[in-house]
Amino acid sequence: MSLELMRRWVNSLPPAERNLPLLHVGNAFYTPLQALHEVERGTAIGEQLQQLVEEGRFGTDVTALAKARLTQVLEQSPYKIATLNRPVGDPKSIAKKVQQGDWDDPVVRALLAAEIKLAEYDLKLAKKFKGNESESMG
Amino acid sequence: MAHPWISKLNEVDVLLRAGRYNDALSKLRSDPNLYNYVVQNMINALLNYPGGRIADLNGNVWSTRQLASMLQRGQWLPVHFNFLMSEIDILKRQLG
Repeated sequence: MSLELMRRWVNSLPPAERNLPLLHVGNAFYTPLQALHEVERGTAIGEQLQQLVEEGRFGTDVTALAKARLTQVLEQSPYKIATLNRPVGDPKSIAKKVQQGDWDDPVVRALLAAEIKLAEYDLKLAKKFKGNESESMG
Repeated sequence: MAHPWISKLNEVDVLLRAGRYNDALSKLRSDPNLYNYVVQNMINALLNYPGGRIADLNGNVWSTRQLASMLQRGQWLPVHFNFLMSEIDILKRQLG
């Protein structure tokens, strides 16, 4: 995937997704915008991030990724979260449960599952661009 | 003739890639001029990093401003070594 296609992939993502952790290399998670930044700087980490995008991999298990994403989402969320049969929860207390790994909480489980789906969707979009690249080369 | 920093940067790079972070840091610190130069570049990179936040595998979300200020105080976290690797790549390219 060329730098230009990487740029087109990042631009195709919903704005909120561009700043959420998606790829893991070494000791950190990178957002799509951060991955593009590393690729533009021509670093070895950028190469590894680009490879993950090409291969449709996150570089770590999806639960760790979903946890990193959800922590960031909840920290910034001004909204309280309610379900039909549970009291209203504020984002900070839910974030605390996420940090503690309280997967028994159905709200936490549902939110993690949603983050996994969104992350998978983001990477699938990259496949579309990679597919177009192969066609144009062939 | 290659820049005198190149060979030391290569050695630090090898240690980083092997996950020997403390050894890499000791090697870098053995040349105070190089250490200060690299750390200053890392601080600039952190202060201008897209999104201004970075998450680690332990579920911590760090502000890059906070990471820059820790570096100024000589405090290193595992996540800093990703930035060190990138700065070494760039510096090696600049020095040729």
